[in-house]
Amino acid sequence: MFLGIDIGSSSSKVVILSQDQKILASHVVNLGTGTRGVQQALNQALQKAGIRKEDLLFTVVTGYGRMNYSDADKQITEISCHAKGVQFLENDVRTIIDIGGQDTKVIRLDSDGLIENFVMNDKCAAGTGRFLEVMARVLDCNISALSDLAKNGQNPVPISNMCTVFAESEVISHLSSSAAVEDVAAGAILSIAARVAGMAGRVGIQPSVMMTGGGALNQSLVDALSEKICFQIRVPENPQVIGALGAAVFAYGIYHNGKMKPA
Amino acid sequence: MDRLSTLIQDLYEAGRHPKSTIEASLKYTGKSAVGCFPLFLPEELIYASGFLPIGLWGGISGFQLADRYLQSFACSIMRANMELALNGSYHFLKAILVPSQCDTLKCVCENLKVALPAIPIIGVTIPNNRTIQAAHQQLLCEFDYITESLRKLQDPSAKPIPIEEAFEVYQKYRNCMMDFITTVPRYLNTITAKMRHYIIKAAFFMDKADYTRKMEALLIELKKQPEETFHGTRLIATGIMIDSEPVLDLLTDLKIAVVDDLLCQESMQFRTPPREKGSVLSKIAYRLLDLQAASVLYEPMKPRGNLLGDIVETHHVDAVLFCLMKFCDPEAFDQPLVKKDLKDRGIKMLSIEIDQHVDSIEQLRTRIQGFLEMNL
Repeated sequence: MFLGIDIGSSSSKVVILSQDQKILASHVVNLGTGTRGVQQALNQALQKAGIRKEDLLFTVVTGYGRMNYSDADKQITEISCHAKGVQFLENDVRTIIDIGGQDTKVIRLDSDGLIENFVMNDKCAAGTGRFLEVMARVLDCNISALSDLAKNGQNPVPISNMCTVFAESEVISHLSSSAAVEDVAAGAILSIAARVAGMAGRVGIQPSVMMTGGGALNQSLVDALSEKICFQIRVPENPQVIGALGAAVFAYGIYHNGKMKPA
Repeated sequence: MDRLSTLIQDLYEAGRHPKSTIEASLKYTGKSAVGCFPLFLPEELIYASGFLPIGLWGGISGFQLADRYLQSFACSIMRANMELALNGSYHFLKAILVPSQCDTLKCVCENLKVALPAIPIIGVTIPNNRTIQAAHQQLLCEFDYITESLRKLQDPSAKPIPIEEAFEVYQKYRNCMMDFITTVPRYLNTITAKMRHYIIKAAFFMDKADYTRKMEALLIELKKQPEETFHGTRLIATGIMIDSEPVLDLLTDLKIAVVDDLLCQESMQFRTPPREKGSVLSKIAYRLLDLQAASVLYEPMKPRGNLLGDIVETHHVDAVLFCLMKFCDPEAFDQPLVKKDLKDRGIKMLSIEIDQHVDSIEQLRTRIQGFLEMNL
């Protein structure tokens, strides 16, 4: 059995692959690096798969917290792991948009599924899940409710600030001007979509486009981003675990071939 | 510790600890110090005037005072220098020279005159249009102004020497440094990216003659060693600087060596050779006018990308590391042009942001590691 672990800033994801590369189990715990989330996710996944830790032949860890996890055989970046995970599911994807808790990445793949180019945000939280969290907090709802609110926005209010801190002030200003909460939520979603579309433009978007990470659970964001980049974005069944899946696929490949490439 | 390790460690530590190095240099020379703001200045004039030129390249974090004069989106070198100026760290300086090579420097020069009334601030106007004869003439007039300004500050501790002698000291230093940067690629296990950076940086805080003696000794010992095989990634660094300890640690951690550079803080300080003919002052002027491939220079043909390409091909390195100084407009304008020129030659480039006062580098680790996984 092969284990992939993705330790993000706000959640921990685990995927276990069988000897014949079938997904035996996956689990997400909404606790990120520096917490007990990894252990909880791992225990749950092992239980679902009906195996013991000793049955794992190779482990690859990825994600923001990968450097702090010492039980893995290898650590690989989430950029490579998302590409690998997407390729495992769909081999015609050329552009991946991954919106995580703290990072947003746009990865372009060539026709062989190898990474051709990527961009990711630096330290700025604009265009990341953190931006959604901040907006949801100001609107007194959770992230999934933010998506529902945004769907009902008839006249999205423009949020021009890219900076999360300034955007928060801008949202408060709109609310105090009696703007409808739904319209503010829609404005926040459009704002993040514009930011991510700008990043995507830097690597050159090619169809088909797939979105991964926790941000892909926000249907309003997926729709807004699809409109901005003029391509329909596909979302896999469980977008949060794609990095962990890629890590597990790497674990399988490295165990059998000793090589990371090709995808 | 063997002699080579001792020599390396001495200069490495000297570069890492500017304060103690400067104190030791002042004691060793018995001179007073004159501060030199980035990026390029005719240091020989200061040296000839009997002062010890000291490079002021930022290097601190936790700004409390700098915001009085600079917005938070000024580059971290200028913010750090302003903080140091305001917290009294520069009070030992006899004067500060500030060149006019970017818009922030021009503003900072005026800010310092208000912020530090007790320290003479000498603005140095480096011509933008450097290829016309008037630029040379203007720079010589500027040299007169610098020399005269420094002469007024001379006290019994000043030990003026002829400009020819000062130029000779600096030329010997520059030749020695070129020897160092061409030798380093053969010893990338011994001279890591971090070591290379701090060894070069140490020269800003030491008497150049003293530094050169130590560097010569280091080179003699280094060249006695058998050439090394480096099992890692070999890069050329370009930008204003790579002066961020977390970044340098990260490079070492990821087995990345800096084989050569086009960094303003490093080889560009000594890479430009002097012209063979003319007076010493003219040679000093032309060294500034003949500078190439820095983003702050007015260069309509933008040769930086191709110059980097040539260096890459000379050393057969894996890629170029573009160290984009955070909030530096000239660097941000240059970056896409350099990227295109390198791409046209089939050379890969990774851009990273350099911010002297950031300790968290996990996202940067992912970007660099992702680049390595993708390309190499």
